[in-house]
Amino acid sequence: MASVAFQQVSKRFAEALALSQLNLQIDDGEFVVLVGPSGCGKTTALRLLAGLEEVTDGEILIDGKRVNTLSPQQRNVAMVFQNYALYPHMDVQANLAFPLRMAGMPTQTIATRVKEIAELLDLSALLARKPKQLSGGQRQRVAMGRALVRDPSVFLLDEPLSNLDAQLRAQIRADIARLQRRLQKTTLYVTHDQVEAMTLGDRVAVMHAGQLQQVATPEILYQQPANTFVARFIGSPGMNIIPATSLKQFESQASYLGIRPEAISTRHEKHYLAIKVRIQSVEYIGHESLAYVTLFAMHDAEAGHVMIARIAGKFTASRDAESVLYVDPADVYLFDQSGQRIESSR
Amino acid sequence: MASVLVYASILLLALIFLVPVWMMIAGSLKPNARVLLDAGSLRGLIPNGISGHNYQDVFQRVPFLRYLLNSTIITSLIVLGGLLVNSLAGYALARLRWPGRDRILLLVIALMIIPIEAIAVPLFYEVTLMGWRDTYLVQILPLIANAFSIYMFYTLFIGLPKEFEEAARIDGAGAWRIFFLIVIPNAKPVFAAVAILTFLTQWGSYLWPLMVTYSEQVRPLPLGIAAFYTLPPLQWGDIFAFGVMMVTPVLIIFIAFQRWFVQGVASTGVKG
Repeated sequence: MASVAFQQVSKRFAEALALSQLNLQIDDGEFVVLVGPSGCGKTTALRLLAGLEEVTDGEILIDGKRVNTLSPQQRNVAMVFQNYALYPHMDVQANLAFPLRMAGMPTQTIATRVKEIAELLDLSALLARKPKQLSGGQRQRVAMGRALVRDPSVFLLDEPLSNLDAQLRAQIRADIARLQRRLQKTTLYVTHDQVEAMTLGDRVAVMHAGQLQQVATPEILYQQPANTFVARFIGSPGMNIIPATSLKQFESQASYLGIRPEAISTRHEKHYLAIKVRIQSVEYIGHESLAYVTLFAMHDAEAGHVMIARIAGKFTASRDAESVLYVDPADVYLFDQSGQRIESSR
Repeated sequence: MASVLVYASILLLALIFLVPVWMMIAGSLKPNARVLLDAGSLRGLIPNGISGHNYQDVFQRVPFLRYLLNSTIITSLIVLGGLLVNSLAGYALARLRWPGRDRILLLVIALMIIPIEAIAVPLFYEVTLMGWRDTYLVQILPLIANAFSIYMFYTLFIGLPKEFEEAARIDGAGAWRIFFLIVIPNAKPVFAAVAILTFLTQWGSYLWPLMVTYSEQVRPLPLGIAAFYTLPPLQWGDIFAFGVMMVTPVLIIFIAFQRWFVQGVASTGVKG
């Protein structure tokens, strides 16, 4: 096991800056998820740590030791690739044994270790199969096994669930979480799926345009987003961000307001704010309804701003109908002109 | 109706290619005197009066086994050396980062259009200066590196998912192990395609061996068959028998590896 530190790490590809001055500390045994939209630099950060790309600026430390110039094998990291990268010409046994063969381990030790890992990941019955004879979930487990077999100090996963269907993804997500808790490996996991990030990570690092936006526990990310990007990205659907002029009460306190879709309701309490809206559409999904609405703002300039309201049960309204929704003022987030959350707002 | 026309065209095309081969086989089994007499008619396709006399003649008149051995040695070494050298070159162009890589790739592509005939004379002077004439070496070494083969390997390697190699790097494999343990096993069809194309080209190679060899000890089969034209009397039956024996190994190899050859050509997107 080991700790990992990115210190002012930047990566430039020709003219494009893929990663800008990343500072991130991952503690021994911690599970950190890097999340963000495509092209945000999360996979670049992972590949820099793996040694598959060279750092342009800054330092990467594993257990306090600078590893910038070390080759991937010298870093003792293991990686699960998005498409698993199982060697197609080798059977499962050979795939699992490959890292140990490269390390020059004795045949008997290799056989023992492969057997242990196969049992751990329920692969014992599949050892003679080639990757093309495996299902997506089985391939994923073999890729995990190949990464774990040589007992790496850091475990890296690059969108490992993105090729699986929704049901299998949920199951394997739980398997990964259980495995990590059991093995206590320092883990860096990259995904664009904020549900994966929130359910797996001890801490989640949100990235955008090559820059780290916020790193915190899932609860803090959800409850105290650092800026409008994080607020919009975390949550499903993300937070509604509207100009502060849309609600008179907050006009002088902020530039933008944030309201989570689940904070909007049809229920009125005495201290709640009333928001007059026009219904665009309603999606009924069983236990709740997603209402897409436009604001009837106080000022003409903001009129027509679209928000999503997540309303428990069935919400019935016809298109273009006028309606009033309510929000607790305590659930309104305030953001300044640059999009940073105003700390005192929550 | 359309499919009947298509099949008829395919059949006609197949006959155009097969008739000369069959005529060679039929002619090789006929008495020498009949070969030319029958040549202008359909009788040329019928092996009447079958005998192995022409085949015996070949072995008596020229050192066929020597030529066969020479061709086998020369072609095999060009194929094996070519697979190693050209695949490594293709890999270096496709995967490794080094200064001038793109310019070299352009040069390789440009070299594909230059035939051996165009460089034969300067190459002849070069090998003469080195004292290599009339050896196996002179028939092998200049022909190992081949721009077309390099390009075929390049197109395959550029299309192989990088993740296999990256996974192997993380698993602790160095560049050579990655190449031999991961890349080559996943490129078998292209290796087969390049091997067959090289074999076909070199097995029938005539001009270069003619220029650089003068003794039967090192000369390959194509020069052996040419010897019949200068060895009176001109026996077409013998020439056909020699031709059959020369072509048979090629056919066997092609039929044995046909599946890989087609896969290999298809996977590189190169049309030979």
